[in-house]
Amino acid sequence: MEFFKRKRFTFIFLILIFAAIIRFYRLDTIPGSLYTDEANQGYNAFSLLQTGKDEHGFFSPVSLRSFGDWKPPLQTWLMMPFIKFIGLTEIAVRLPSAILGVASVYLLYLFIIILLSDFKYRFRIALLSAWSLAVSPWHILESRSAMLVAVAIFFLLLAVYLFIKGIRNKIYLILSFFTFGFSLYAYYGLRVVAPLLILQLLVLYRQRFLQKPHHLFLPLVVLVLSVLPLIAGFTRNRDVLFGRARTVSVFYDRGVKLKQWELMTQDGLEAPSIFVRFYHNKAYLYLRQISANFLSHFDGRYLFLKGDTVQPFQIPNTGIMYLPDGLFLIIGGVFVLTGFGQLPKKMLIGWLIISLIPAALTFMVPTSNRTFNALVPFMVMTAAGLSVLRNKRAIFVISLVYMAATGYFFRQYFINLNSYHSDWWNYGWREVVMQTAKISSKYDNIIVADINGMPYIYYLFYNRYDPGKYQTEAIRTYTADQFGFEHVEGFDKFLFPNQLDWPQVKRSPLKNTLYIVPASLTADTGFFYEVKDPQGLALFRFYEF
Amino acid sequence: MLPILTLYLIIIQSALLRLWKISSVPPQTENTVIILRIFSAAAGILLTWIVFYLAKQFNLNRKTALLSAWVYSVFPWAIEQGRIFSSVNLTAVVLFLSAIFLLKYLFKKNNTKLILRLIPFVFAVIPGIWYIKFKFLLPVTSILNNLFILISPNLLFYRNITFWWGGLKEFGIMFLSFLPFLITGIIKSITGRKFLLTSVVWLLFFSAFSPDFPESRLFYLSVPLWSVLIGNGIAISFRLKDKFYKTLIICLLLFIIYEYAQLLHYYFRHYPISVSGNLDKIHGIF
Repeated sequence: MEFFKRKRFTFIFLILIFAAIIRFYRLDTIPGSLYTDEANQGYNAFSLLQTGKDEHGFFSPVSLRSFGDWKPPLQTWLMMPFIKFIGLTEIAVRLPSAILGVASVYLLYLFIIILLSDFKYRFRIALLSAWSLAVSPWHILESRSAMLVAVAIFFLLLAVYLFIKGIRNKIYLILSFFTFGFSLYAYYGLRVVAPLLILQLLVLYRQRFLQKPHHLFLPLVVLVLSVLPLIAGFTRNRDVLFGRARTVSVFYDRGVKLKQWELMTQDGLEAPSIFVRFYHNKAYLYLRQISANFLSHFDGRYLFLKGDTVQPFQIPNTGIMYLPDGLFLIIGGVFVLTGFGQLPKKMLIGWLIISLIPAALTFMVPTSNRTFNALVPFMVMTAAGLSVLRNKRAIFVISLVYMAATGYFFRQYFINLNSYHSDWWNYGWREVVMQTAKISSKYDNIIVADINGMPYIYYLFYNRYDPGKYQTEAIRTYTADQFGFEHVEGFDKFLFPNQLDWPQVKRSPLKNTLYIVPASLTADTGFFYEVKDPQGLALFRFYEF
Repeated sequence: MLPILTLYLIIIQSALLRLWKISSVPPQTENTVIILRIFSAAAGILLTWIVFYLAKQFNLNRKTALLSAWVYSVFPWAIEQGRIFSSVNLTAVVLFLSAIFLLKYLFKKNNTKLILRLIPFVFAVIPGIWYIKFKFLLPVTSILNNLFILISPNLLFYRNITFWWGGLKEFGIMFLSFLPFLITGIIKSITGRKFLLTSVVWLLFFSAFSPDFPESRLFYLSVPLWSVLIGNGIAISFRLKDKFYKTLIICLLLFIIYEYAQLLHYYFRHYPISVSGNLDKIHGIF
């Protein structure tokens, strides 16, 4: 019997222990602060627990209006039991991601075993895939924060795993379709990815369903039932289904239209219009743009050197995958294309392509968050590449290389991220809120400049502000800014001006008012309290006049 | 007879693409010497013929060799470099002519393995010197960065940044529609013609080490090899029997023709306009 087959339970147990240690170690303080989206989901979970309504006062919503970005609610629902028992803390907010992150490692192992059921080295590849996911910088970053996608990938993986099991047992097929439907509440990208994956699975297993089409009836009914609340929400407000998709869409960006205008202008009025349209039509220009967006996710600089450059998805000077992964990804890719059976090959390549489609339709690329589902085929390909190593000396050398790469990543993530880049995670708000709480009784008004993120949510979160009270007090105009975000003007004695004119404030300040201003907005002395980052750089200053 | 005629037609097409309006497109700078442009164009035309023979040296059949030559003749980067004075274009002729004779000798002697082992040492000399001489300019991360730029989809298919002020920036090194055929060609050469792929990989490393990256345009030396890989990919795709894939390939071929038309229009209509604003910034013979 193959070594990996005999020892598989020991190996997977050790991998899961290691995955858990990496995901739970100082979960509340690394990353150093809750990002605004995390704090928002945490407070909404708290609000739903206390009042049954979200911060906007919507009863049991199927999409959280949040900052106007209409967040899918699954992660918030999962936070509720933790908040109930632990309280509204950082750890309660991040625990669902971390737990499902570890569970995803095990699920990937099971998925590969069932996908490659006829393949001799399936246990070896399954274990290597699980290991690759356990130590993946991309997965660690996402599963240690409440950024939706770590939860989403778990449910997607579960749905596909159940589907393959369902080929032999109808009950699993029903469960699979329910999970697919349920996963639509986890992340917007899945509203594109999940239907396409279902379609792909139906095409791949078409022989089975063409023989017994009635086997699909009940699963499809379950699928429709599971998405019915979402459809009902959509009929009332289309943002429930599409959220901020319009404002991040490639069609919303004016770049392509401007390019077309420039080229048509250069052709001049004398050029025949049919000729101009043939060369400078939107279909071709958008095809180029969308395909460029799609392929940008294969850029080595993004994958192995720099990673996602959008905060908070950055890891300092680190790619979203390890540098040696590059070599094994290529070897594994070729192995998958030439050595795997038709079904697993098509499954993995299809999954990879489908996972990149939502991001290709947006203008902010490459993005690690929107393409997170691509992690599954990427990890399997890397594992397939590693599985071809047979020579003991080569295995030893590669192990050393990976140890060095992993060690570097751990240093960058667990030490340097907090020490040198705490601003990426909006560090400082906890201290600002705590300090404000100590002195707030002295003031009639507290004015907080709305520059770094959405400060109101930190005041609600860290003060555990009564949700019922907040729902009646919140002052909102519901006017979206250019990025589609809606700001809160204030509540209670707090005001959050979006564009605070600091020189004007100094000329005619309000009496008995506390001003909290980001240090980037003012270099004035005269503040009486300052919040600093771990390097000692000023972040926020407190003023009274 | 027919293959030879086809080769002549491809070479005529190559000549037309490289010589038509050569004195005005791209616009001349004060350093332009037309005869040198014509030299470069001649090198480009000769390279079309060389690619045909190079493909044959890799034991590819005549049809594949013809396809490779056609791919080279319409390669956006090859057209751009073939219409300006380009030392790297002239170097490519010498390099690949030598390669054809070397390959002919080597394969006959059947000592390919020895040569495969020697290649790294030969190619390591110049980058090695650069690295020692300019090592403060080229830390390992820069070399990796250069390497990833060279194989980035952006450079390959969308935006060629290797000649900032005078280049055809709106197109990549090759057409986007070549991608599926390139992947097919690469996979096929991994399992078969390793020498072809090894040469591309070494040219890749060679270019990434250049202190003048990306303007040194050393990666251009690999264009004939890319052409062979793509030509092979197209030839393999033609052999597929599945109706779905056949339809897909026909669509891709139509898209190649459309991209080719786009290139011609852009090159002769828009490229001179975009370059004319930068003529004062182009140094050296153009």
